[in-house]
Amino acid sequence: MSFAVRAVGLVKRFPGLEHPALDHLSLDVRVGEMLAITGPSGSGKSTALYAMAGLISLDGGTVAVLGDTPRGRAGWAALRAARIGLVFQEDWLLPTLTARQNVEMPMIGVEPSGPRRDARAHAALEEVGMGAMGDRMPAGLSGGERQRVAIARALANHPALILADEPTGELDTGNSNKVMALLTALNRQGTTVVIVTHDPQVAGACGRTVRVVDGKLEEGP
Amino acid sequence: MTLTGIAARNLVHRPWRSGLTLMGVVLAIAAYVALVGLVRGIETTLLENFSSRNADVILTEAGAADILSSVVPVEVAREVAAVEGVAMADPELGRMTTIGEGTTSFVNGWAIDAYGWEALTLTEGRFPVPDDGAEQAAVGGVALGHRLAERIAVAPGDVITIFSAPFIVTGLYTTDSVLTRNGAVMLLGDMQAQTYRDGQATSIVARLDDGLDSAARDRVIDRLGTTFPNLTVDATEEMVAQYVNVRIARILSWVVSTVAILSAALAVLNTMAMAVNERRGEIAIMGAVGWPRGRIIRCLMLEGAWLTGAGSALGIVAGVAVAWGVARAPTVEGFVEPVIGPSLIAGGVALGLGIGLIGAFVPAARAATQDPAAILRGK
Repeated sequence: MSFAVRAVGLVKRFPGLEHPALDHLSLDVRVGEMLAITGPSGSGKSTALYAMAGLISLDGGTVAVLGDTPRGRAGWAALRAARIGLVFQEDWLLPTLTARQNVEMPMIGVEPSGPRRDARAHAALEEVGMGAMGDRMPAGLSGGERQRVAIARALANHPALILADEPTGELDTGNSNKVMALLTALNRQGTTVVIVTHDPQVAGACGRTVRVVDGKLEEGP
Repeated sequence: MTLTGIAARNLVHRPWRSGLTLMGVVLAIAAYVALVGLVRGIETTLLENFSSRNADVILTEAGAADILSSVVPVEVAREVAAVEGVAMADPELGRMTTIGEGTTSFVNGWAIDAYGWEALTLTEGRFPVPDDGAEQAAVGGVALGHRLAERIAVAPGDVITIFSAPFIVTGLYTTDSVLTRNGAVMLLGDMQAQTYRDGQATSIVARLDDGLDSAARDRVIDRLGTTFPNLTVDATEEMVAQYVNVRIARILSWVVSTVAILSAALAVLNTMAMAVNERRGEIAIMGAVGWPRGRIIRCLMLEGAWLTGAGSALGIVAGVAVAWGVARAPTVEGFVEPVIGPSLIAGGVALGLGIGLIGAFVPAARAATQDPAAILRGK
């Protein structure tokens, strides 16, 4: 069995907090899986996701992603650029760039050809149903549209793993369903998807759910 | 889309802030170019005043604050000319004075056989001779630089007032020297009489033998120094470089330029620090999508480079305009033409880029080391 993520004994302490955000948390995510991580607020579920993306430094434990154990910021940055797509609760689109240029952003340094970047960005926007809105500025898009552009940005470099932190947290039900449909479709195409969520409906759409409480893992049904 | 394009869009997105910062850079570079250009112009003008007539060595009173306050007996010129290695030497009396309606100019008094006349090309009339102006109740004759004649609108045959005395204009000349073109030359005796300096000159200007190499020139200067211990003996270029007014002007120009440049660097630093603070989320997402730290810093520094690149270009244009505007002002015209060559422009560009590097690097480097997870989670 091959793993998209193998997290072993993760420990993360934040200054000023009595209890660790991650307390020897271990978690495996299989390639092709769609996994939901749930848990109460402050339980450490988002911290676990950011650890899988190499966006926080750990106080203990190891994370292997797609067979790679990057070292340092540069190693993680290279891995994220090449193989990991990230989606956040907020879209974090750059307000000075069009939708297509936002999608192009992760390709800078990965795809040297400008026209190819443009074509791939357009294809990614088509994939999320936003092909016709590539020239719009983020300010001219609705919340759901912006989140779909953010997903297109995560798809820009054809990642093998998508890590999503509350991707539907700020969306209404209609847009939430659209986003989940997109992520589910990507998973069906073979992309491993890990979603941190509070929403039981979102968790229900995933093949497996794990629950994090006090920085430790509780396997769900 | 490129990093440069992203940086440019970010600047255009905040036009007021970018514009005001740009103005700060423009002012700094303009101040540098104008001030340094003018000071170099002053040095060049002074140097040309001597070099245009091939004066190699200047002898002045030891300890005199500047050449115009120096007093040297005229007869010393003959002794200087007799020193081995000296081809010719002439006494020279120089004064800054008002000619006509408030036009300040440099007036030289030369002996009738001084070699300096050879460097002047007559365009009208003739050079002064003894007893000029006797028929018109003038105290003597004077030749004017053609530019001065244009400025005060006089022609040969006119009588003008110099040192509160009437002089007849005998001719107009042109020359390579800005100062001399905008000045006047009269006979040494006439000038001594009008300035109460009978038998005195302000300097002895000597031309050395042709074909002397640098070492031989130095030996002649040493010899002159030994022979005339009460005089300061300088090569022309050395005398100009050490001229106290030039040194003061040089120091002032550097002080003002440095203050302006530091202010501009702080303006860029402030702009970039504010921009970085406002865009922590954008910077965090750059890291999250896999941009390495160096690329994030580069992108932010490109904003500083855009600001300072455009600011340098506009500042150089503005500096050239200001320098020439100052040089053309009635009170200054004739004393200086700014010297703004490739080295000064390169210096302006380098300073501009320096401002950008200093001002943008610190906030950019800090931004790139922020914890993206905390920012992206809104904590």
